[in-house]
Amino acid sequence: MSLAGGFKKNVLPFVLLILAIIVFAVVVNVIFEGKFLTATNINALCISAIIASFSAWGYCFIFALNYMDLSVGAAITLIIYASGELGNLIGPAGVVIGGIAAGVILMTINFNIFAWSKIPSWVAGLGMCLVYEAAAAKYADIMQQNGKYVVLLKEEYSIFGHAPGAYIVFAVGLTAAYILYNRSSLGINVRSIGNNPAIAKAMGIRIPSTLIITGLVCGIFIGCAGFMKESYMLRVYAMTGLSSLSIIFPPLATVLLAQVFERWMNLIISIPFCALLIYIIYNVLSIIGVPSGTLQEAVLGLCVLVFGVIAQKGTREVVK
Amino acid sequence: MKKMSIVLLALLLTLSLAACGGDGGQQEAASDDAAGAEDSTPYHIGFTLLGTDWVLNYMRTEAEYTVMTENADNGWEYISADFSTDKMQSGVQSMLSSGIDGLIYSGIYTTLTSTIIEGCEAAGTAFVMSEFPPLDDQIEELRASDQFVGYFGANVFGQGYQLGEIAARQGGTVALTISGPIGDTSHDLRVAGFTAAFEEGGGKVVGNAHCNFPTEAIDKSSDLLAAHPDVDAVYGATGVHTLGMVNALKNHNRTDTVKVYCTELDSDLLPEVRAGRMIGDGGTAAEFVLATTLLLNRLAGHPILDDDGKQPVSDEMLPLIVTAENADSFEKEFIDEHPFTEAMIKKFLWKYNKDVSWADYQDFIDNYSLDRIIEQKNAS
Repeated sequence: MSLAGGFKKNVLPFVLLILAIIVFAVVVNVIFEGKFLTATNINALCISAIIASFSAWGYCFIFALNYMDLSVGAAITLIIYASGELGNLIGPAGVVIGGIAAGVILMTINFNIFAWSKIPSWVAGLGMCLVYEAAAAKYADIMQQNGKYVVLLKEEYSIFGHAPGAYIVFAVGLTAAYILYNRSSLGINVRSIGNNPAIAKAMGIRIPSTLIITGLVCGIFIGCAGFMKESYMLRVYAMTGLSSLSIIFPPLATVLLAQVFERWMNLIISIPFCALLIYIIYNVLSIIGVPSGTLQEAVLGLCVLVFGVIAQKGTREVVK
Repeated sequence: MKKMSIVLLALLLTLSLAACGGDGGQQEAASDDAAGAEDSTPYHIGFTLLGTDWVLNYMRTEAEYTVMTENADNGWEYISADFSTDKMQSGVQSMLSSGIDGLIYSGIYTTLTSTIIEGCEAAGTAFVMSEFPPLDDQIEELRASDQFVGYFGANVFGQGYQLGEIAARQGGTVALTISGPIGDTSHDLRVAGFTAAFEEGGGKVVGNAHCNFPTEAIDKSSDLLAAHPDVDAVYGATGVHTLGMVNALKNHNRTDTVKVYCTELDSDLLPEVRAGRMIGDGGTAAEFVLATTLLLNRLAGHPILDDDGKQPVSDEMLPLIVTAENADSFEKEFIDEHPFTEAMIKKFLWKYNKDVSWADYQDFIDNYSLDRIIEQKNAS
């Protein structure tokens, strides 16, 4: 039984969890007079979850290498600008090309730094976060000096932020992420390096080239997250002072939650469910009247703890 | 050695020529200007930017334009606090250490006020405040400082209040609001103003989304719209947050049933205004223009004092209301162009207008309107 083959695991608890969520959603819907299970609401939640899933899939590869990259949020901001600018020039194809090209370039830069600088990845990521934020702020500043703003994607080109475009991209992304992470030599090499670089090297895995190819793959997923975000939000303002970290909170929470469920379900497949779960929690809390900004965040934190406790049930050793 | 002497000589000659050129240029500029423009000493002005978004950058741009209108040779630098108290404090300290002559300080972090006073007094640097008024119990402390020039800003509560009144008048009954994080005093006051007026008018504000970051605006708006299908009005405390709400309304197919009210409009929201789906306010950049003139007058040796002979502390100015009828004029006068012409700014500068007094500022506040701005622009 391969660990990579997610469907061979004991999937029953995960299925039960999903059923529990569905029952919960129906109950909430009945109590609150049909506010939750409306087509527009579910669609909005799914699209938010899909966008977070792409970043989360990128993070799967980063975490599998035992790396931490905090610059992804700032990179997404730059990707958004590239996607929007090229999109406004040549249409939806430009949105995709601009986003993926910028994603590949930026993540390749990051992974080259990780591979060759020999400094801890979180330090390098933090540094690159500041660099990318400054670049985004400079772009915004230049635009403003010329009497313009940061790019606003034309609404007619925003098809990948709405149904059905977003769902098509999602289907392609899920398939690609599943195959690359679970069924390709790249996925196996990445996990080998993450587990023990010395053994991976002894096994003949070429670490620097694997890192750079991983950066390229990550760039494609992060690039997709960027162009979908631009299509969904139309404009994202430049953020400085590490504020761009806010962009990676939902995908990070998603990956961490998916890791909790990994014993029952393949990581890549559980990510969209976990992303949806996080957005559902916020949505339901709003519907039942829990104020945002304080209690909603506290309840989400508690939910993560509860899920963690459920997932660790039966574990005997001390968990670090 | 000989080569070194030649290089030194060339350097000295270059510096001498540059110095002569500089003086000549200033004298020429002074002679070109209106009466009273004989003092051409350039100042070095520091500016505190709360963070980087469109409106804050816009305010910075207009303040810089004002400084450069006073004298094109003036120096200009700014720091961005990135919405952090610590960065605001360290940034101000860095600028004071670099020897700026005057500071334009965003008063948003009221806990820093005493520290700023101490820093400016120690450095001998005059400072003016704008954007957010000092707390009532800080005004005396500020006025006791020789370096405090004054405060000139918009009425933050009033910004929300006047839009709340309009929303209620237009028949709004159930409203949502969206703003920045809890504790953002400026946003909290705007929302409080909107809520007060809307509820006085018979409506009810049923929910408020607090976004820790503007990127959350669309999802938080979407959640609130799902929770409140009966909403017929929404208020955004800034243009950034309002854009998120507008996109969420589109996703929920509710743009035709929900009217939007927005503080600090930007041009991307103007199509919504033109379509009659949104009413907003704008034009608060004027507060930084006039606050900057207060500082420049003080540096020129002519501090503007209020009717009681004290440094002015004014938060009476209300922004302009932008509707479908005046959206085009607003865009032209406030976004495509500087809201103030050089001639309009110079009327508030003692260097160019020896008669300027607090009465001119009060007159501006009392009569601030788009028509008045257009009229003054045409006259200048």
